[in-house]
Amino acid sequence: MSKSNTPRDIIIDTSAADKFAAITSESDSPFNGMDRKDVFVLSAAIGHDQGLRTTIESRHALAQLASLSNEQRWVLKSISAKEHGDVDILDDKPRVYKIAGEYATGGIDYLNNLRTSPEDMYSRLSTDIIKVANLYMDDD
Amino acid sequence: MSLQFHTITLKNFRQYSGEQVIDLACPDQSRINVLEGQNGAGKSNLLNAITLCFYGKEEHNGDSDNENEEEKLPYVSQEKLSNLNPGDSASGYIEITLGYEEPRYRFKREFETYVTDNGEFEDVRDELTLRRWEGRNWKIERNPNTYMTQILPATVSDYFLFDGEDLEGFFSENYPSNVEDAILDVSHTKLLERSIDHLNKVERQLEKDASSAEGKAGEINDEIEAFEAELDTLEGEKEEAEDNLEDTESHIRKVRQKMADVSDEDVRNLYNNRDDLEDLIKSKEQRTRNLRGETSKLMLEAGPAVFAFDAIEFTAQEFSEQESRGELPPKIRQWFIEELLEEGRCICGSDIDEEHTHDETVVTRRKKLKALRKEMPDASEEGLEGKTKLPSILQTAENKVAQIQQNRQLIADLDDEVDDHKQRLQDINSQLKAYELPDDDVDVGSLEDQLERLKDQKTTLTKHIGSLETDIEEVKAKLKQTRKEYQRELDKLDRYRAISAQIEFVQDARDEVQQIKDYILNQIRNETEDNLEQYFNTLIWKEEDYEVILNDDYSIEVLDPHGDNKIGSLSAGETQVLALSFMAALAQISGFDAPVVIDTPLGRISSEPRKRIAQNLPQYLEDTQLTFLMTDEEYTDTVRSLMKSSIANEHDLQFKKGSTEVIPRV
Repeated sequence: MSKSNTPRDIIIDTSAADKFAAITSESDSPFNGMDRKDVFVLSAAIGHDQGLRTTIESRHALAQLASLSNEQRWVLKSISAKEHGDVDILDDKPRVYKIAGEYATGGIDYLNNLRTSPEDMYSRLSTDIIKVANLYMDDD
Repeated sequence: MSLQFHTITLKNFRQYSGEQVIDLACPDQSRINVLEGQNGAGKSNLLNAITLCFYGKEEHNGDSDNENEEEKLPYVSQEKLSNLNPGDSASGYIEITLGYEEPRYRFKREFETYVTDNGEFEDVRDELTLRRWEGRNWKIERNPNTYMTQILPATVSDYFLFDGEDLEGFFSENYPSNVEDAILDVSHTKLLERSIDHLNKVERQLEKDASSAEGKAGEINDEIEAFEAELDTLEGEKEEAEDNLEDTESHIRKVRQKMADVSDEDVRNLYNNRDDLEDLIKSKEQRTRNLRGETSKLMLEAGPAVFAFDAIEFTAQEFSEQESRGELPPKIRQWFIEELLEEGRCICGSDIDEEHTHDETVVTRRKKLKALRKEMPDASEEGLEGKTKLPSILQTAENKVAQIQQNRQLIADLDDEVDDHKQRLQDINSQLKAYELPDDDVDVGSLEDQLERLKDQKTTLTKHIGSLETDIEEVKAKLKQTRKEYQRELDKLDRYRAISAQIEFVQDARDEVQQIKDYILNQIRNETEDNLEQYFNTLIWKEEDYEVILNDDYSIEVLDPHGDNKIGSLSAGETQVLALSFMAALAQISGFDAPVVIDTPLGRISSEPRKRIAQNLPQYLEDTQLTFLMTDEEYTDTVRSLMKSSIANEHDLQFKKGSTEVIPRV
């Protein structure tokens, strides 16, 4: 297994930066006033769920990786492991977080479209979370 | 003790006929004065007398039955004026002595009322005069206004001399702008604002000097001028709309005051029901907002695990399989390998003694174990951690999703309840509109129509102001961008390079001053927040302590011990306490060491909360002289007994046959 250093920052595509800003500052977003790093993790998960992995053409540092909690990092690591097909990828930290960043870039687009659509984002997202949770967690 | 009023002398001022001297000096530890009088006795005019003397203007609504607030009575008492003919005049004055233990300043303003040819009255007031005690004499000062500005400037006098009933609307719907204006008043940042205005003017002048630049720079300069004109128009419109909103809110309060005078019991019950319903709706809507906020946080916490469920499950499964294949030794730790190396024998029985350096096999085995010791912590730690962490992440997410479901149900229930209340509210409004009472009672139907129109007007104005604010921000953003382009163009032209450099310098200077202003305002906001919380907890009659937060946008949160924000659901008494606390906080921040006079401090509060506030009033603004102008309904025997130990002087304002006499109580 090759080892590599954990990157300092979480990276998204520059084009996604405005969308993160909008989701955390616009009054019609349920996440108005919340941290971008938390929205990053949610976006990565939604991007994974919706299959929206997007190549990063121009790098933008959104926040420091150290600001994520251990649980949040495990979510991102899991996404990369599933993408790669096994957990060996976890040794390659730069690649793990690159994949997470690519999914987050796609996921934030999805979230922002939800915000600007006529449907209430808060209602739609909470409904989706409950639906998906019931789908997966009821199967257990 | 702060600077205090020693005496107020009124001669022929409105209800106060002849010369009346009101003693307000507070000796020792007692620092509260109470002047009690029924409505119309002259409490508000006493407050007006103070501001008329100090600043040459009257700020406070009268408490007479005169419904038309534009028809102010002349300065001189009716008693004096009744004997005058056209062309005659009568005079009077207001004199106020201030000082610490002894009187030190004697401010005086004389006035005269003339009777015109057509029998109307015209007032003239003289300039403010000041005598200051120095040595053993009262010395005439040439610049009384300068002294007044040092003692209590007009810009902050509203926080020292105010009508308690005016506070009723302070924390209404658009209160953050009231809070912001108040903080700007006491922040002494006017000089900085003037500097910023001046720098803006210099920038515009420099741009004009460069306006003869041709080509692209010239075109851009025209754009800048157009944007500035648009900005001026929008800001003017916004100011007008805000003035209209303030007037509308004031009219709403007046209509509600008239409604409170109705004598029919059924109507009063309907009004009370309506007030209760409005409070209930406000409180439930606030609860809904809090729940939505809480749910949004839960979505952010649980959402990632929910949407990445399959990935988390996959990863946990992989670790589990690794463990069962032996690729992930469950309990091996670094220390175990250290022990093996020390003992010199591997777990499989092989020789790994470090002294057997001549044996290549032993050396190779030791090297492999050492490499494994180095590698394993990462791989095994990660896998071990993941094995236990991932299932717990999913469990936590499941619990939070359950909470989200619960909150959504609560919100749905609250929405239904609010809809029911609103329907009931509409029914009450319809009933009131159709009500017919005898002619000598309040015209309920007409007042309802007025109130509805005013409320619609208020909604329209609020939306209009919001829309103007958005337009203003847009134009400002465009202006900023265009100015940057303009400078870039000017830089290209040799002869305008110097002007461009000057413009850049002015912009930097302005940004610097703005930063200083923002820093000061931030400090003042923090200090106001601390003082506000302290005073609120002093005055409020509840046993628990509240946390009061003043946000950057000047909104206020009043958090109870459970962390619930009560600002949207405070009762009338609690709102009055918050307002009084805010005034006290501002008075303290202002840096002025002046006495406080409050007309009707406990006006519209019901008896139980009133008693409790009265109990705590002696702790309000300690070290400051307080003068309360109260009605007999406020200054009950119970309130009096609760405040007795802090009271220095009590006076009755006895109103008889159009005149008020100030009688000290013994």
